[in-house]
Amino acid sequence: MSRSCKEIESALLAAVDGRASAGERDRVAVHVAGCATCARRLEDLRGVWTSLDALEAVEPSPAFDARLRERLEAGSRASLWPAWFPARARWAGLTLAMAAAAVALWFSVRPLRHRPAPASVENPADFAVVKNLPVLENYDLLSNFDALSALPGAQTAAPEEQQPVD
Amino acid sequence: MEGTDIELMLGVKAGDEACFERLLAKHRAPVVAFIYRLVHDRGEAEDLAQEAFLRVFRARKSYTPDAKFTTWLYRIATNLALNSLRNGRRRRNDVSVDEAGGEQRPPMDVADPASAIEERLVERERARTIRLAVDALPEKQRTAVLLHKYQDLRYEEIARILGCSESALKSLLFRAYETLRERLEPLVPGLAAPGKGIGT
Repeated sequence: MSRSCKEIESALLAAVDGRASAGERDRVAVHVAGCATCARRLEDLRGVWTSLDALEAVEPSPAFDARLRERLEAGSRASLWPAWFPARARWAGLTLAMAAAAVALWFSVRPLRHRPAPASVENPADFAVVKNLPVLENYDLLSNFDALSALPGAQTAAPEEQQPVD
Repeated sequence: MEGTDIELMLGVKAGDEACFERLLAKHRAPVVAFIYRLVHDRGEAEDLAQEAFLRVFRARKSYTPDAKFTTWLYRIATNLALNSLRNGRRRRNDVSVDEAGGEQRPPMDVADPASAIEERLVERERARTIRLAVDALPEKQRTAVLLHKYQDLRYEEIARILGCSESALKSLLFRAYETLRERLEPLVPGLAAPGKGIGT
């Protein structure tokens, strides 16, 4: 293939797809008149181009616009703030919400020593109920349950794990 | 007001919903058809086309007319369709590729003469072969061919959509059509045998 054949490639493409300028069309016509190889390439391109007309397509369904509108409205409803709410006020609100969340988090994870100690079980009837509980999984409650220490064979928790008694 | 796409989009930006309706009316069919040719599923094509228009609408406030509207729209549509294919959401349809587009086909009339039925079967087989040949192209070549053949876009626009230069696009297209010529050679009478065609 000569250099001029390589250079004519994009013009061949444009001649087939209808995007060629008048100048490109003339250039292609002159070239293929004297080049059997490129005349053949042009015909092959045309054949492929035409064969692609058989590739099926679809039209949008009649519900396309209605469904799009639904999705637009759903997107608006999903927005936390109404569209008219000023952006600056949104940031202020968001900051307040984050501060409130931080305070709530601090209260939920504050040191255990600030929690009130469990009341001791002195009533024998209450003791019987506690004794018959199947499993006590709450370690905090278990380790500070004074009544359990009176049971035979009960082990005393390490001092540092015990909650101070007020 | 008819308006150019850019004028309509500036209208959408200014809050004129009627402008969005006009853009939708103008571009919905070609965008659905383009995505359908990539994903081969009508429902998925409509979902993705709607998503493309939703994204255009949501981005209206930051819209600047520094490129053609269709370049932007088809770039969104292309990314959505290719991501969908990469995520494999349409893989389940691979087994039913024969049924793709089935809802578009007219039912065969049992009263048709045998020759007419045979003719239709041949047409369907031909369409299927062409679709498989296009699908077998590398992703970028396939997208380039679909944008070039079926969408009314200039080379410059297609190049921008695909993120390449115009000369690179032309080279990409030429290679793609050469590959198609080889694959469709038995189907298209008169096509040169491989090794004697477009690229040689």
